[in-house]
Amino acid sequence: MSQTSEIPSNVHSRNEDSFSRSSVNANSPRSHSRGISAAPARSEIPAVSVRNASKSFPRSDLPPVEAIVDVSIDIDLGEFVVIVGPSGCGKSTLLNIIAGLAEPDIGSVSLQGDDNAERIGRVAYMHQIDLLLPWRNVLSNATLGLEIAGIPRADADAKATELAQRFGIAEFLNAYPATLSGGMRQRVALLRAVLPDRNVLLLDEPFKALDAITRAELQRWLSDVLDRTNRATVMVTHDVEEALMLGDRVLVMSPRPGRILLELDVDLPRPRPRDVVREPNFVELKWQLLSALSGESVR
Amino acid sequence: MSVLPQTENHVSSESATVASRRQTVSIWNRLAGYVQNWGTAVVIALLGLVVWELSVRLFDVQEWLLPPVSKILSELITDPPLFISNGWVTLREILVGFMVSTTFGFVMATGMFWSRLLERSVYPFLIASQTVPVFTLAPLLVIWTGTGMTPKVVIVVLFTFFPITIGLMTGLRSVDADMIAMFRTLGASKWQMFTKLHLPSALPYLFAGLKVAAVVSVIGAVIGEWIGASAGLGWLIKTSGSRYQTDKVFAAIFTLSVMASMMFILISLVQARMLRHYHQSDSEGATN
Repeated sequence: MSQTSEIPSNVHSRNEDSFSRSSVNANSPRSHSRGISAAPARSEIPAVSVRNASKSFPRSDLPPVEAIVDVSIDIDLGEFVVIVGPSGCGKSTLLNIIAGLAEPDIGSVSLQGDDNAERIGRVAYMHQIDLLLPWRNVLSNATLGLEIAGIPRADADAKATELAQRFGIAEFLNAYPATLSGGMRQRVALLRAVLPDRNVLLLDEPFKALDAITRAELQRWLSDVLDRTNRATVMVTHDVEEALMLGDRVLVMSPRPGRILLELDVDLPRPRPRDVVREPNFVELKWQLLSALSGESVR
Repeated sequence: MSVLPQTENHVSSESATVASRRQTVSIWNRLAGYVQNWGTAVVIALLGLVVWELSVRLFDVQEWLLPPVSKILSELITDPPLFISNGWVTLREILVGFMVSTTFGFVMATGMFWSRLLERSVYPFLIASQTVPVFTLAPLLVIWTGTGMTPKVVIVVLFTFFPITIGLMTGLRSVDADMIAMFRTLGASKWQMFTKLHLPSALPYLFAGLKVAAVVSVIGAVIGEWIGASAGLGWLIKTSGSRYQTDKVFAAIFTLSVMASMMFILISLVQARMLRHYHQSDSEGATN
């Protein structure tokens, strides 16, 4: 269950000077026991395992920005983990590290227990913006990953067409991105991300650029459409309700430098209907998340 | 999925309407745009010609100083082969030079994209080549390569390779970092990224360069013919000018400008065709 017991110490340990590396080090010992992996009953090798990862970015004339400090996460196959945190807390840095787009300064990342695994190209990643290629129609945008992997065109098209049905974009396969709404474009972007059948799927605030109605619709759609059985999914968001609607587990990150403040198991049955937000369980979980978040942001 | 049939259908049909409406709107917008862009210019040009014709007649200007428009037109009509044959000579110089430039631009821009070393060693000289007044090179080229087609082609190339090379190079470099990250997470090799991302992204920039090149290529050919030639519109202008055949000079200038415009329009049409899906790609969903 949640490691709520850790919150107070972390909350109070927050230094006024968030860039001071020494204070952070002093208050977050790099012991393995602190890591999320300490949660029991995870016997199998996790699909993704981040161990004590820290990353900072150099700046000219200023001390480096510490994006994340001593972050440890294990994610199993079949799990949907949501990371919640304020803007600029290093969530995207964490996803970039898992995807292999960046390496941590300290710490390590392993895929299926393999510390030295080449991660780039093995982790599916969907960005905040759809990043569709305007000169390709929906079908060839969706099959881009398969094309890069060298899968024959006919096979790729067949696979995409089949999934497109479930994604609700079957009738747009010949349309070009410029003619689609923002919500439709995000669906295509997700289809492109999942088609190459990776074991790990990263979603970086996938609905951020959408209006509230489309957003709620796509949240519901996402939980229906994603076959979670053979995949570890990590989603980043700053929307607490979105986290609870979708996640099996929610991690709260502190403002920069980003650390994991709280881990929360979401024991809500699936599928989660829209009115789950009124259930006492949901309200309680939401309260816990919000207080963890605000405890950090109030200075 | 069976859970959501209603919402799916609703959303889909709505977006389909939006899409088709947008298409209709864009066709009308385009037509209106053409009229707005070119209609005014055509009217002004016609008005200018009328004023020209009237004022020459009204103030009784000597014909060798400034011939009336009607005289220039009659020159074109009475001896079309003169302008067609000389025009063809100039056009060939332009087209050959243009093709050489495009090939050279492709090789250079691609080379500099792949090799920083090549860029560092070549780029300064590409810029330096543009600081030399090409006109001053023309006599040298005649001495080296004679008065045939070669010096004209070389001058056209000197004028046109720069906008093409710089356009393509800028385009290849201007790819969004997020796009590159997306391709990397899909496992793309550098070559795959080049052909599937950088090259298509660079097309708008390449076309911008080609358009500039199309216009200046005409200047290059005329300069080449000015120094030493036995045919071509530049040669015709020069020889007619020295004989005070002002109407022929104007007719040749008119032919030249029509040629340059035609090339510009042709490239614009190819561009509109090839880049027809590039527009408003960031209008929605990518506002961040």
